[in-house]
Amino acid sequence: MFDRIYIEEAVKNHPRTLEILERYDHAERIDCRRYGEVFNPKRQSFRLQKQNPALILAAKHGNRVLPTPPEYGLGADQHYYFSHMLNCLYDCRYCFLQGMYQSANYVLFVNYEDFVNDIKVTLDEDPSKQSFFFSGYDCDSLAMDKVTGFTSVFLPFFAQHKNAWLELRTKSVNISSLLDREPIPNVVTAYSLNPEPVADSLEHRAPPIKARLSALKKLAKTGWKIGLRFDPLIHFENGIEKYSQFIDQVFDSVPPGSIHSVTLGTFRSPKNVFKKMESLYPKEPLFMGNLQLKNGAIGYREAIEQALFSSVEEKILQYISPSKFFPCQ
Amino acid sequence: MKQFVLALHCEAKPIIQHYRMKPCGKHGQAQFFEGETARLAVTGVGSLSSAIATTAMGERFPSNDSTWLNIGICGGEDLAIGEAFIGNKITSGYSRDVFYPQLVGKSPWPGIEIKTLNAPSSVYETNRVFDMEAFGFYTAALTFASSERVQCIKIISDNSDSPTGAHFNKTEISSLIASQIPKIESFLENTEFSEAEYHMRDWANDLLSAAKTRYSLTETERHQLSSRIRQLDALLDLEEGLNLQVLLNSPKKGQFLERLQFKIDQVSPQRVC
Repeated sequence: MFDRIYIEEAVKNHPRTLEILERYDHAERIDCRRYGEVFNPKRQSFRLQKQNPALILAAKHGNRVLPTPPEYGLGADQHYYFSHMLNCLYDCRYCFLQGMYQSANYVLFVNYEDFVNDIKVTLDEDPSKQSFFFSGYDCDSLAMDKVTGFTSVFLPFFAQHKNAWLELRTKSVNISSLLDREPIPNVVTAYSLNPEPVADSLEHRAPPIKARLSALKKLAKTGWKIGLRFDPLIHFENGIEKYSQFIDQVFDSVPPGSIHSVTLGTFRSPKNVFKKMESLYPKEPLFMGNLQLKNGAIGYREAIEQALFSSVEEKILQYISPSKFFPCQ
Repeated sequence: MKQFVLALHCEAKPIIQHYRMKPCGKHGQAQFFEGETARLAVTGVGSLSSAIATTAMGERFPSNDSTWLNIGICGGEDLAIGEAFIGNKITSGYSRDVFYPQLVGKSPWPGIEIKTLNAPSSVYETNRVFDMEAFGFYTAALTFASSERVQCIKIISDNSDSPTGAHFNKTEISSLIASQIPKIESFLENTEFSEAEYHMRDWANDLLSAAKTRYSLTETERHQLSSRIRQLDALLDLEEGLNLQVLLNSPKKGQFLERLQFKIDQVSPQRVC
C-alpha cells in the first residue's frame, strides 16, 4: 500500500510506529526531524502525489482538540474536532482537502494517547456538559482504520465516557471494527452521501453509494447510531428531483430509530482553497458556473442554493423530526 | 522534456550519445547539449557549479513539464561499486536544509539519503551516500519543477574497500552511467505525467482575440472575458464552442459578457455529472 514511509524522529520508537513498520516491511523508511519538512514545503504537486501517496508517521504537538465553528453543531453543549490524520484515501473533487495542503501524502499522528488525554481534560472541565467530538475533518475516520487502528483506541475510550459523543465521519465500508464489537450508544457513524451521479462523477475512489447504504444498513441492524450527512449538496441538472429520489432511497435503507442526526449543507469553500482546487483541476465543471463569492467563501448563487437547500430540507423533514435535523448554511 | 544535469563529461558522454544530443551553448564552465527529447548540462564538479548550471539551463530553456535528473557517481560505505540509488533525502555538509524528493510511480532503484560534501571524502557513513552536486542541483531545480519532477540518481563509484581516487578512471565511470540507461529510460517513461496545465483550444483562442478586437474593454472586463472563455472551453465541445461566435453580434460589450456568463450557468449543471 505504501512505497515510502517517513518517520518523524519523535515517534521512531512509538509502539504504533513499530507496529505499522512491521506491517509494511517492504516500504522504504525515511527519517525526518519533523513531519513538516516533508509535508509543508512548497513546490510539491498535490495532484501528482495523489497518485501514490506516502505515509508520514508523526506526533501531533498541541492544538489536538479544537472547538468547531458555532454553525457545525449537533445539539450537544459543546462541539470539538480532532484530526489523528491529515489527508484522505478518497479523492472527492469538492473536498476542501484538495486545496488545503501542499502535499497529498498521509500524515498519521500516532500519539493517540495524547489526543485521548486532551479529550479527557476537555470533558473534565465541566463533566455536567455533553460534548461532541468530530473525528473526520481532515481525513476519513474509517477508510484507513486497518492501518491506523484508530477505532481500537478511541471506541473503548468513548465507551467509558458517557458525557462524550464521538462522530466517525466516513464514506468507507470498512466497518468490521464496529461490527465486531457491541454498539456504543454515544458513537455515531456518519455517512457522507450524495446521489449516484454526483458520487460517480465527483467522489473518486470512494465506495459506490450502494455499498455505503449497505454498510449503513448493517450498522443500523447491529444497533449502531447512524448519522446522515447530505453535505455538500451539488447543483446539477435535474438535481432537485434526483436529490428527492435519493432521500427516499436513503431513508428506505435505514430504520428511522437508528438515525441519530441528519445534516445538510451546500457546496462552499474558502476563496483561497477554492482557487487552489480550481488550479489543480482547471477543467472540472463543478468549479465553473453559478458560483459567487460571499463572506470570503465561494458557494452557489443565493437563488440556486436556496432552491436546492429548501427542497432537500423539506424532503428530509418528511422522514425525521426537526430535533434531529441540523442544517448548515 | 528530460533535463539531465551531470558534473563530468565522462558521466555525461553515454547519455549524450544515447539521446543523440548536440552542443547548444555554454554558461561559464557549463556546457549544454540538446537532443529531440532531452537536454543536458555538464556542470563541472561541486554543488555551486551544479546549482549555477541548473539555473542557467532552466532560464535558457523554459519548460513547465520537464523532469530534471541529476545523475552521477557517489561513495557509499559498504555498497557495491556499480549499484545505483535514487535520492529519497538530500542533505549537505553545510546547510540544515533537507529535501525529500517525492516519487509519483515506482522507482527501479532503492532509495537512499544523498549527502553533498564540498570535497571528496574517504570517510563513509552507513545508510547514506556522499556526492558533491545533488544538494546544489536540487536547490536550483526546484525553481523550475515540483519535487516529483526533480530526482537524483547516484551510482556507487567508491566505497570503504576502494576509496576515492584509488581507481578514478573515466572509461569506467562512463560505463557505470551507461549501465543505468535502460532503467533511466523506463523510469522516465513510467513517470511521464502531465500537470493540470491548461491550454485553450483554437476556437476559444479565436473567440478571445475576436472579442478583444471587437470591444473596447477595461482591464477588469478583459479579465472577465478571459476567465469566462476559459470556463466555456472546459465545458463545451468543439461544435458548441464554434457556435459561440454568434455572440459576437452583441452590439454592446456588457451584453456579450453577460451572454457568456449565461451560457456557463446554463451548461455547467449539465456537465457536473
